[in-house]
Amino acid sequence: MVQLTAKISANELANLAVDLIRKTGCEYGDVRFCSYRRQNLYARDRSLSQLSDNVSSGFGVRVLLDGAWGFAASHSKTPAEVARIVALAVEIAKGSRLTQKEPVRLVPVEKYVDTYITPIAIDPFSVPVADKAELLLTINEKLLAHGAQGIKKADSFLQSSREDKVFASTEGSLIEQTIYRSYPGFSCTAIAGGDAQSRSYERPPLNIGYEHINPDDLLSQVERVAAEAIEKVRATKIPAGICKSLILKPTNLYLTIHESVGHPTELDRVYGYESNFAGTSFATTDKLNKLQYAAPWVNFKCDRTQPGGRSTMGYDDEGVKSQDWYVVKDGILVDYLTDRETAYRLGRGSSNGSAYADSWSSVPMVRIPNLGLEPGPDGGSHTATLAEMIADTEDGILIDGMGSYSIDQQRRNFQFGGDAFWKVEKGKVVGMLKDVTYQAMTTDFWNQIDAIGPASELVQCGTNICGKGEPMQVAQMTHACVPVRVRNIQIG
Amino acid sequence: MIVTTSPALLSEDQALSVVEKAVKLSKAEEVFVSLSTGEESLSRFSENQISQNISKTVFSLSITSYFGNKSASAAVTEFDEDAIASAVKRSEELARIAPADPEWMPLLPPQTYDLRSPAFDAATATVSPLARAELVQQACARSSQGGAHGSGTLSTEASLYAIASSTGLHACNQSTKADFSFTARVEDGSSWAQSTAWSINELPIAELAEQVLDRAIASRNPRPITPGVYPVILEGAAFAGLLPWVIWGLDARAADEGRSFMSIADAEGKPAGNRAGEQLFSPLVQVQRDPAHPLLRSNTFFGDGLSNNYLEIIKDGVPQSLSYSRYWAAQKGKEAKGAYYPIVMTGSDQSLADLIAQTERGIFVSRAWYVRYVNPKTLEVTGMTRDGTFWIEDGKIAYPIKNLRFNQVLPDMLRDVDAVSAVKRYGGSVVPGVRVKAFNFTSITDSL
Repeated sequence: MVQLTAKISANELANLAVDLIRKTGCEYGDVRFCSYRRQNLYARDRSLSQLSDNVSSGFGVRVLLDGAWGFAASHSKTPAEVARIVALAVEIAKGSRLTQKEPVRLVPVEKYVDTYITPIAIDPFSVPVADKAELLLTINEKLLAHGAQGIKKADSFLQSSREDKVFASTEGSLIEQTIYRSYPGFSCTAIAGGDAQSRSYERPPLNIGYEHINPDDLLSQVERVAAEAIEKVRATKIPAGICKSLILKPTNLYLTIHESVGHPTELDRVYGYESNFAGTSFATTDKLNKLQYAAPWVNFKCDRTQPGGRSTMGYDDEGVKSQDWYVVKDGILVDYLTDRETAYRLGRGSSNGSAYADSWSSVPMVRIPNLGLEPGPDGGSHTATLAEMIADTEDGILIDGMGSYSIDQQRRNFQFGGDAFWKVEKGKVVGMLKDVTYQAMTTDFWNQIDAIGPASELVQCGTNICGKGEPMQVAQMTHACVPVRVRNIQIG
Repeated sequence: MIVTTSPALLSEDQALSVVEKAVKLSKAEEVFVSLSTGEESLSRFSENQISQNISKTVFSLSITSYFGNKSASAAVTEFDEDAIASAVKRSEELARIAPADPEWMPLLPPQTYDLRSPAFDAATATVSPLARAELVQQACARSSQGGAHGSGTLSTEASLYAIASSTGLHACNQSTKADFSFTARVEDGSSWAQSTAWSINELPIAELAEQVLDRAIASRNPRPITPGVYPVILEGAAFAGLLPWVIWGLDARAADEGRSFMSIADAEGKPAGNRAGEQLFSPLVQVQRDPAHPLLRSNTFFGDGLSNNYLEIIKDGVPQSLSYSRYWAAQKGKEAKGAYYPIVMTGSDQSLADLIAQTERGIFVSRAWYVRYVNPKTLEVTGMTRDGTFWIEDGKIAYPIKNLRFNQVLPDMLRDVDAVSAVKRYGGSVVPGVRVKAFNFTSITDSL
């Protein structure tokens, strides 16, 4: 739980805030008291360039007055400041009311008094920092040992965090949550022939303890990653403008899912709330249950309960219980990602719990939850292992890892790169390529998937740097997926 | 009882007292302390009504402790005695067990900073939620009258940054900033503009809203064109999304190690120095770090204590020097002069209309969106046009065109600049609009 002082707890201050909100005449209000501890280690070459252990704590109050929102937040956790912030939030809501055309309405939510803690085996903050630093510097040393072959740069990182939050609302909920997160990885850069190329490896960002770090796994990947960087810098380029079959590993595909399925199905975005910055969406509500988003054998499912998922928690930041649901079923757009406000606008009776705020000082908004590509069913007509996809491909490119990424403001036209590329010819991987990008339109791309990996090849990839909103908030989520093959995609 | 809603902003004296207190509490061999605090408010609107409206009081105190060539940091968001003492202690515990750093640099001694103060406008620091909402209301009303779906933000910020160290560094800056951005969508037309200033009273909200509405109407019924290489006029807002990538690319270490467009390779392809001092860009490209520029009036020092003063970055198309970290400067016998920020590029007395009138055919780009690296070594980036893209024919805007994806090597873009307009402030930069002889568009989209 969020511990303030011996005299007053976050729960007591949260209850005070709710009592004060109730007295203001607002139809709804909530408060979140949060504390974030983030320990970050970054090593560059032989230098531990960052070792930090930071705590950020405070609270945010959200009120709905006559259908208009007000939000205020402060780092200072005292009864007097709680009273000031509640009053300020109401003043802000009065300002919002000036422009109101349609009052905000919220779908109902059950009252919960509950606690949630990320299941972990090892508390990441219990592991000696010296051990963590030694791991990173050992990785870098092993990478730089390939200097004669061209490895001139090594970077590694280890991020651990613990988020404690207390949510209380005028509807009677009081929810305490503790979320642990762990994320390690490294990269190296090879320099030769007037070029520089990088290769990386990471254990994806997950909500999990230090058991995820797994030094043996990280160290076992070093030689391969260095060798691939050395090969990559000497690899050939491929001409732009031609079309190829692509075989995409989960480490690459997750970002394509994120950008072209996750963001377009955020319902606030569909309704224009992001018009000024992140943009809108082609997946408008008139297309619901009609749009052939993807091939019939493609299913995308959200799941905020999946073990380890980076957005897995007990409840969202509006007190809605975590759940799972399909966004695309049998290739058809069947649902969106909602908060209580947008769910009401869509005519739903409840929210699917996609609200998240990245800080005590941020207002909750619709964020992509864990959103994954379901594996192909055993024996399915389009199910194939990665090896089978390669063996069945006459002329294609195999792509691993994250590279360049860009997509238009309605999420149609996209261009992605990767971290490593191999030419596939006549069913065999025949050597590395470099500087490959692929361009497509969202629904064309997903409808051209002709092979999907089985459950045995599912990987929980994800991101911890998803930006959205004004002011910008940074969220994190998992996109569990399997390898796929997609036909006839333009290169470059 | 009436509860005051006004923020209690720290004064410079109070802030310096807090950082000095942390320095005194330290038992480390050396210590560096920074404090960041402020009040940030933002009204966000869409569909011509406020959809999100916030204010936050923020504070962060960061302590970096040093024992010989070992260091570590800890930060807190509270400033009572116990919290400060706890953060100091945590940073010391971590620093003691940190590995020795082969790239360690001693803390800076006291520095000399420009005597000016950053702009601090009391009206901006204390603007009420109601006053902010009234300004938004005006923009929304005008948008509704124009038949547009209006969205945007109006934000204000009052911030304070202070530093102190055991070596005698001691500095504090207070500043304010206001920003208005507005998007109008009319049928299949869209337009956007943004204005940033150090005072809310300096924002031309009504004028900007009119411009955006006019351009949104003009951008309806866009036509497709064939992607390819075209002359282009980048409005300042679009150029402000591209120029910083080149400035970030002027990192000395990346250049010397063979990782950037500024690297020189020998006959065997191995790194052999950098291209500072070479004529890489058009002589029209003149870029300075100029925090005292009247449109900016920003901070006098950087987070590490180095002075943020006037510096020529690119003169007559020639990069004057690269940006050196203190460690890399020591390795190379150079001087570390701090980050290349804020960016100011020299313009002309010509308007964008003048540039268009002098252009036989080409593309006018209002905004560059989702710009990302394609190749960090060559500084090729990709991105999309957005919110008003037009075809220029015979010196006039001929008709709107559909948005395009570009894949462009940015140093080539600066090489091909052949005209610049008057400057404006966009976010933290002051730049002109530019005309570029050749710009590479690779695909088209129906997205507006």
